Amino acid sequence: MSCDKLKKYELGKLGETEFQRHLKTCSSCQEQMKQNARLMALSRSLKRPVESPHLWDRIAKSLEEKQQKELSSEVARPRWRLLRLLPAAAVILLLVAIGLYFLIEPGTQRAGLLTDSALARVEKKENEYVRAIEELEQLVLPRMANMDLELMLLYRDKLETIDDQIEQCSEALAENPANAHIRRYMLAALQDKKQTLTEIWKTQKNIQE
Amino acid sequence: MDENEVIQRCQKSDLSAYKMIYDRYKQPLLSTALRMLGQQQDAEDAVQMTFLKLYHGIQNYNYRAKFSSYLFRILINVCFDLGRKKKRRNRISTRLAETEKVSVRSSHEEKVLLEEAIQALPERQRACFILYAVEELKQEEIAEVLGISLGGVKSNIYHAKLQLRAALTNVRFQESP
Repeated sequence: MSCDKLKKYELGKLGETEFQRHLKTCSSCQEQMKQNARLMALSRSLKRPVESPHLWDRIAKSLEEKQQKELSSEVARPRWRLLRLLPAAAVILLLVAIGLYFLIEPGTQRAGLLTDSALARVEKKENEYVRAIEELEQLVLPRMANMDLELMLLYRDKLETIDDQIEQCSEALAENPANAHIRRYMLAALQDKKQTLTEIWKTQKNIQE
Repeated sequence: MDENEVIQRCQKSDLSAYKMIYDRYKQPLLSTALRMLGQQQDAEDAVQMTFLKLYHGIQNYNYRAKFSSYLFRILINVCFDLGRKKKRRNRISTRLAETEKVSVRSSHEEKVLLEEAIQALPERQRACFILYAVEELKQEEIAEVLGISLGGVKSNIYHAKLQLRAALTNVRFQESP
């Protein structure tokens, strides 16, 4: 049998004294308190992390790199900052473009609709393209671990943003698969992802050489 | 050395001061990150990123909030971010193996199951529960770290406990023939 007094107590809606008085006579709350105690004891006994002896070295290295970058030429900075804004700008552009598309009259939308056979061909090619990019991603992602941390974070953010675009397009296409405009946005996002992965691949290749 | 002095030295980009912060907080930071992310390597990455973000943001630290809360807030946000990316990577590569839920016979397996159940909690519930149950922070401190109300913290902890208790009770149920 369940009792909601423990819930009220834990949410701060029932006072300590009142709850303790209730607890003496309520077997349901007693059982729940017993389970809570077991849960808390078990949680505290979970394995502790092993401190890596090199963790501070890694942190110190990245902080030193950060310091050096700050001290280095002021010329490159604005470009870095602009580059950071690119993913956000891309998302905004995409949203504006999708919004504008849905504002257009239905009659003009017809031009953007694909016929059934064309749609089947597009979907087939698109799936092949997506699979190829996924394969490329499998090759490239492990290499990111060797990158300069800031550059890695930048690329991660960019890939994340592109994945968001792809996801938004996929959701829109699930509702309206024949919409050629959204498919073009999808293709642009996929091409962007391919280009980004290729850049990462080349960057890492150069470092290794 | 007084913590505020160390922070002032950090604000002057003194790396030895960051080392002092690291030595003082490495254990709770790593432990929280490990609980949040489930993997040692991810936890170390999270701590490293936390220090980079601390370096970026320490000029804005205003001494009104407790420094430990400020530091944990950075860490939790980094963990949320990494956790989402990890989830996304797992979803894309569909490498998540179907784990068979077998009956649990030992305390060790029960702990493994609890760790999995913690990982399965929604991120905010997970953060509240870890800070409360594992790191033993007060609920008021958790509210400060996460920037949510005390009521929100209580509610998250309550629901986390409910789910985790259910997971453990289920194990015991499966144990019986």
